[in-house]
Parts: sequence; structure tokens; C-alpha cells
Amino acid sequence: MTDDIELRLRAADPSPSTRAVDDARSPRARALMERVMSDLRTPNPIPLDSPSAHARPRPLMIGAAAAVVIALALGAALIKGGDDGRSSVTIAAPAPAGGPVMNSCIALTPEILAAVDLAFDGVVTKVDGAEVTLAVSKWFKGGTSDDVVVTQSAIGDAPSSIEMDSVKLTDGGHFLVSATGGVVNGCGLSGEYSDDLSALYHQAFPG
Amino acid sequence: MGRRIAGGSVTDFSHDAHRRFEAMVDLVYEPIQRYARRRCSPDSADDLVAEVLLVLWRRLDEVPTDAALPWCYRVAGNCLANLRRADRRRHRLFLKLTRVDQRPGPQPHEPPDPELHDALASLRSVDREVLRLWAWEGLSPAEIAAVLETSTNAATIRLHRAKRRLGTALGKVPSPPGHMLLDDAGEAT
Repeated sequence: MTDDIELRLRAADPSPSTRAVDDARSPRARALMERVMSDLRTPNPIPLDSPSAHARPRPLMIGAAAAVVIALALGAALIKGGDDGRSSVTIAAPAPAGGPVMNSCIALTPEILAAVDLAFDGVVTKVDGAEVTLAVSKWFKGGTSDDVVVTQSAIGDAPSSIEMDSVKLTDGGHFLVSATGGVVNGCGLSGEYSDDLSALYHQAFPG
Repeated sequence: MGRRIAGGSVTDFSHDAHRRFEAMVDLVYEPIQRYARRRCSPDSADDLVAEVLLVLWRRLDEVPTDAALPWCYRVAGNCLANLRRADRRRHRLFLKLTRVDQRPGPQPHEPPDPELHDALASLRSVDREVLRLWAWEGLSPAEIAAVLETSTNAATIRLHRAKRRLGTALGKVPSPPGHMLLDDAGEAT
């Protein structure tokens, strides 16, 4: 029975060895390899204390210089899995100006970003009051669902828009979002899609 | 790139990294192309191969020298899941934009063995993948274990059960009277 199954499966192979594919030395393969090796990210992480670390793609400088990074807690948050396979991230409104979690961010590095619990690339598909739905196009870390719902709890006067570290989550907007301990990270660890931020995410999560 | 400074010594690693990467590509390029073509459309297959090579380059130091191909298959599986997720999103958007026009599109090619195709489709995705890795990629249980990040023993059992379920789905191995097939969790299938 097993032999029969094996033969039958092999006969149905969509890419059998009798059908040629590109050779690793073909011009097409060489062109692809050259493109890959010209990638700015090095194949090996460079130690943080290395002088050459400063030669990386430019880091995102957010906020005033400070000794520590504060993952800007936008409020208590909860990450939960729904029955329909979606996960949702619930965040509170931003802390008032002058509050204890204000400012004090340092230059971001891939190592700092790599420590978050979850990170994804998504597009806002729905803004429904305080609830914003993002369709995930790529999970970098911590999730598998197709959608993520970010809900902002109203504090005092209900905010008219969802904000994420002063970045407005508008319908159709493209964002890179990370969260730690159920809290969406600010300080530049989340934000509207840009080539710089995307490069940082890919550097932090190379897989 | 070019130079890394560590422990006070300066080492030129660029050339070594390029050579190692090229050696890895020599090893995995053809099988990864086949892996991709067995699982997605030609356009998506090219994207998948490019993604795998990019990950291979960026994580060159993590690639086990004695199991580079299973490592690449595992990366390919993860990249494929991300590509499919993006495809589903695009498809939903497409349906939203074309809701008025419900004419059917071109039909996909008829599979060479429709009965086998249907039987495979009826299996759980993990069973399908184990069977593909075994029959199409030609991996041993130990290599399948490396791809799935499990033990060789567990991979052997999964493969055995997947074959049995496929046989059942093909109608060749009816369960003996009074018996039922159990899945990995011991539940009736």
C-alpha cells in the first residue's frame, strides 16, 4: 500500500527531476544572488559596541536623547485570540502630556526592536469608532492571524481618532506595529510604513 | 559591510561570507525552486525562492552546515505562509472591488491524478506537508524532523499516520469493522 502511495505521489510531482529548473550558475541565479548580496543588511549581526555599528542603515532618532528606551505605554493593553482566529490588541488612550511615560527615547536599533513580543506589517482596513482593524500582510514575530484589531479605550473626552504615538491609524494607511506585554510600542518602534522603519523591522526579524 | 571589528582585531569577513553564501546557493537553489513550484504559481515561486535566499544571506551564521537544505525548507515554509496570507488579503480586496462582476475566472489546470489530488486535499495540512516532503522532496524522517523542528521519532510517526490517512482517503484501506482511525491526539478522524 505504502509503495503504491509513494509511486502515485511521485507520479503527481508538479516539479519532477525530469523537468529542468534553473541551475545555480545560470545568469538568472547569478543576478538574484548579486541582488541578495547587495542587501544592506550584513549576514552577521554586528556587536552593539562595535564602531562599525554606526555604519548601518541610519537609525530612527525619535525624541530627546536619554539613557533608556521607554516603550511608550499607551495604556494598559490586552492581546487576545478570538474565536474566529483573529487576535486583538486593546490599548488605552495616550498618556496626558507631562505624564510619567513622556518622551525619552533613544536611537532605535534592531536589537531593541527584536525584543518585542509581536510585530507585524499591516494595512488599516476598517476604522469603527475606537476600533481599528489592520489586515496583516506579514508577521515578523508573535502571531499568525490574518487581522489584528487595535482598540483605544476612551479616557475623559472620547478621542475622535485612534492615535499611536501621534501616528494616526487612518483607513487604508500602511503601518508597522510592534507590541510588548500587550502594549503597542511607541518611541518609533511602531509607526507608519517607511523604507527606514521597514529596513529596521527586517533587520530585527530576518526570518 | 566589509569589515567587522571585534575583540580588538579587524577581520575581513565579506569575502568569506560571499563564498559561503555561494556554496550554500549551489546546494539549495535547485531543490528550493522545486519546493516552490510544487506549492505555488510560477510567479509566486520566483518570489518565494528570492525570499529564501534573502533569509539565507541575512542569517548565514545560523545555517547548520550539515542540514542546510532542511533549514531552507523550514524558512521556505514560513515565507510561503506569509505569501499566502498576503494573497488572501489581496483576494479579499479583489472580491470587494469586483463584487458586481461575478463571472467565473479561468479554471485552474486539471491535476494529473484528480483522485489523489482530492484525497490530499482532504487531509490536514500537516499530513499533506509531511507526505510532500517525503515523496516530492525525497526527505528521510530525520530530515523531515529537521524541517518540522521535531524529533525523528515524532516525524516517523507523523509520516506513518499521514500515509495511512492518505490510503484511507483513497479508499484503499477501509478501516476494519469496529475500528476507527485516530489522529495524533487520539481523536477519531
